[in-house]
Amino acid sequence: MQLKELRAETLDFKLDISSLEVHAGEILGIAGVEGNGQKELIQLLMHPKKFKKIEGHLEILGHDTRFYSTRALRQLSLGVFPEDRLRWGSVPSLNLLQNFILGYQRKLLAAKKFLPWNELFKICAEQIKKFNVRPESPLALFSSLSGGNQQKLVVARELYLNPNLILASHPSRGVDIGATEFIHQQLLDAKKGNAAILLISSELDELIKLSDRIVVLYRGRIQAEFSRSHFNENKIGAAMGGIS
Amino acid sequence: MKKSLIGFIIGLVLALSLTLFAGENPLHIAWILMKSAFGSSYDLGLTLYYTTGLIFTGLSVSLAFSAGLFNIGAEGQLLMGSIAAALLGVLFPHVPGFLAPILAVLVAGLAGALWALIPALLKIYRGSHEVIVTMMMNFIASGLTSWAVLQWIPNPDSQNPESAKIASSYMFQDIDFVKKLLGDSPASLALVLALFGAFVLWFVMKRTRWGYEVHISGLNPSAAERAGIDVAKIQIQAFCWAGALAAGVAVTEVLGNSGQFRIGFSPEFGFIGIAVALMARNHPLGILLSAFLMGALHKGASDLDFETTTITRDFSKIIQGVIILFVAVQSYRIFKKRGSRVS
Repeated sequence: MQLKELRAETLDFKLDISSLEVHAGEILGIAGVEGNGQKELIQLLMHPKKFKKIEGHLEILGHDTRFYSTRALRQLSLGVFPEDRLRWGSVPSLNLLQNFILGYQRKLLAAKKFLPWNELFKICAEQIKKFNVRPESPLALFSSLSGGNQQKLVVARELYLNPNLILASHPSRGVDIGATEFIHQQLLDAKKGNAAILLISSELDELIKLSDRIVVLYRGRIQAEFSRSHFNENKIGAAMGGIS
Repeated sequence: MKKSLIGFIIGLVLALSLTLFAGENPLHIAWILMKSAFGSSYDLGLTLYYTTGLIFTGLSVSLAFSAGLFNIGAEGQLLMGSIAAALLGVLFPHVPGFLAPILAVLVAGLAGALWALIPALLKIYRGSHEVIVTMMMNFIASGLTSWAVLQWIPNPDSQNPESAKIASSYMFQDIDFVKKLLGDSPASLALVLALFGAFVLWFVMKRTRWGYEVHISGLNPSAAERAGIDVAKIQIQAFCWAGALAAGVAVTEVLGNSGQFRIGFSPEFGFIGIAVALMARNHPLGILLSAFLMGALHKGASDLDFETTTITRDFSKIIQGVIILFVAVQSYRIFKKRGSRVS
């Protein structure tokens, strides 16, 4: 994934990114006080059509996606952990199985004319087991799960096809410690599997633990960049406040 | 569905006991309702005629509702569908027999869908709320159809505000076994079409990728968008199909029953359809049952005028209102229970 000299505008926010690149087998952390463009960055990557204007270079997995629809983006090898799982990543009133195929509804077993619920049920049950989601039944209601288990289901879904690019935003928000550890391990495993990972988080500890590089967003611009050997909470914190 | 039935029964009992205030015996009223709805094969036929119309409008409201839109406009859509069928039947009498009913069904559906397309587009691209727009468009449809009937195809043999008869090739005639069975009652083959429609919609919503996308778009548009669903497109499509379903009433009335467009023929099918869909909680197969109950109620109440001195057919509206209230209360209770289990 590569962004260069990119200026993008919504009605109330401007992103101005000089250069942002995530390589395969790398975790790039995005730090910043919330409201400095993290949300817009995900929107730009996933819903470029919502932007009034996009100028510059925007490349995802080798495609110029400035004019892509979200449906077209979903056809790429891409996994997204939503910034707010209840709003962007699930339908709480439906069951786990129905939530599991969200985003895959035209992709999984697409050769079949109708939705093959039996086969999807099997896939979902396997994946639930692998990711240790409780309760284990694909027919449980999503809203009846704890935050950690909800997030694990979302992660299980997004990682199911081993995506080459993972956009993980706030992967551990509202998640218990055990599930957080588990999700971190999944990200590290994916990195080992040569996926490129963009990690957006408001938790500095999480970023420092997982990232290979950290970029600080401030007012829609890149304020500073740190490589792993130069991680320093104070310096990153200062950059988040706009002091460089 | 079980909860809805309980709500239905509680509502019916309570509404009936209201008749005590008018000095009537509720059991007697219930008996009149039953007798009037199912007393003879003609009565049953009329009940089934209402049922047919209500299935179509109920499905229409329910499909739109699944997509997160409130279709108040079924009444207008069914009027436009009916006028389209009537115009076709009167102005083009020479379409060959086997083709004519099929063509009429398609034209009626198309008219309903186009009438629904307007509020859908206004909603998606201008943000105008579909409830307001469809409600207003009901009045436009009512005026427009009345004008079209009297201007273009008035009945030359009658002083009634109605259209000329459509060519007989458009009517179902010999293949209509429902009509044969119930001895020349208003019920017709349209009932079979309505049942078929309900099963198709049920299958579509449950088993197709499109149905899944409609469902998700209605429940959580943000998540739907993130999942690569074009919510705007899905909602427009669903609303148009809802309009086409509402236009199924044209088959019930124009092709199946009267063979003409009688101004004011619809006993507010579109609005009772909302109640039908609510009672069935948008389940296409539940709509079959709730449409039947509401149809029976509507037909049953029509005899109250003659059989009692104090209660008129408008009483059916009160019963409907109380029933809907209790069905809603029942679903709220389920909701509460579920909520408390989570926390």
